[in-house]
Amino acid sequence: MLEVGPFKFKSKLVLGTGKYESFEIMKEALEISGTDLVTVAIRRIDMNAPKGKGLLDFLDLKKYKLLPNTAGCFNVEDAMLTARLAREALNTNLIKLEVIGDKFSLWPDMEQTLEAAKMLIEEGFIVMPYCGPDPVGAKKLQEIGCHAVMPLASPIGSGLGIQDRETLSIVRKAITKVPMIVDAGVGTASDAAVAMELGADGVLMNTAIAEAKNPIGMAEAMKYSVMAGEIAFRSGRMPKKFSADPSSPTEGVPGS
Amino acid sequence: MKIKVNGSFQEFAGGTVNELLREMNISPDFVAVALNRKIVHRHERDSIDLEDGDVLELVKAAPGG
Repeated sequence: MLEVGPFKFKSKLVLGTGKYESFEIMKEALEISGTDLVTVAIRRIDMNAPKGKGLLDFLDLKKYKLLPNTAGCFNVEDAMLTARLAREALNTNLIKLEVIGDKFSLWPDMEQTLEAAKMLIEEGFIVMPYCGPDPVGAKKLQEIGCHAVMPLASPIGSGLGIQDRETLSIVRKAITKVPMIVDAGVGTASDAAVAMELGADGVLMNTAIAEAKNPIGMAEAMKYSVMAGEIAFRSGRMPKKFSADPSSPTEGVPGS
Repeated sequence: MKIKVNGSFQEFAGGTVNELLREMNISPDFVAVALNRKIVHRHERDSIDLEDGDVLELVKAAPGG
C-alpha cells in the first residue's frame, strides 16, 4: 500500500505513459505491472494532428489514478500554470511537480521547486515533487507540507540505476512523515529492487519499461522486483562480513 | 479579430471560449483552457467572450513520465 495525502494505492509502482511504441503496448504494460497510479504530461492540443484515439482512450480511469506532471517547466510560473491546467483538464488535485534547472541533466531546481510547492499546497494540490538526492532539500519539501518526496536515482531517462545508494539512504532517513518515492534513473528490475531495499516507499519509472526490448515483459519484471525489494527491506538483510563464513558444518566432512 | 492559440495567431469571428472550441472541433472533455495565463474554468467557458489579442492555451493530457 502506498499512501499519498488522502489517496491509497495498492501498488508501490508508479508508471509513466511516455515513449511507448504504441498505446496498445502501453496499456498492456500498465496492466501487467499492477500499477494504479500513472503519470501523464500536459501539452498543447496539436490542431494539425489527425483525429483519432488519444492517450486517455487507453487508460481505464476506474483502474488508474492519473498523476499529471509539470515536465518541461523551467520556472515557477510555467509550473504553476501547468499544474492549474492539469487540475482543470483531469479533475484531480494530484500533481507531480517538476521544475527543471538544467536541460542537459534535467536536474531539478530546488529553489524554484520549493517555491512552487508552497504555492501549490496553498491552492489545495496534493504535491509530489521531483527532487535531487539531497537530504536537506528533501526535508525542506517535507516540512513545507509536500505529500511525498521523489528523489532521483540517476538522470531522467538515463537508465543508469541507483547511482549513490548511500546518499539515497540518508535521504530515506530524513523523510519520515511522507512517502519517499524514487523517481527517475531505474534501468532494469534490479534497480527497482535496490530502491525498495533502501527503504523507498515506491518507485516511479517510465523509460525502463517503454524502451525495453519487450516492454510488457519488463513491466512484469518491475512488478515482482518492487515486491521483492520491499519484502527484503522489511525482512532485514544480513550484516555484511569481510571474510567467508561457511554455510555447511566444518565438522564431519567425509574422508577428513 | 486576431487571437493567439497555442503559440500561433489565428482569425476568430468573435464569441465565447466554448464557441472557439466548437469552431476548432475540440471536444471539451479533458481539455483545459488558459486565457492570458489564467485558467478558464468549465463553467466560465460559455460566459467569457474573447477579445482581440487574447492569448489562449488549449491543453490536454499527453504521454509522459
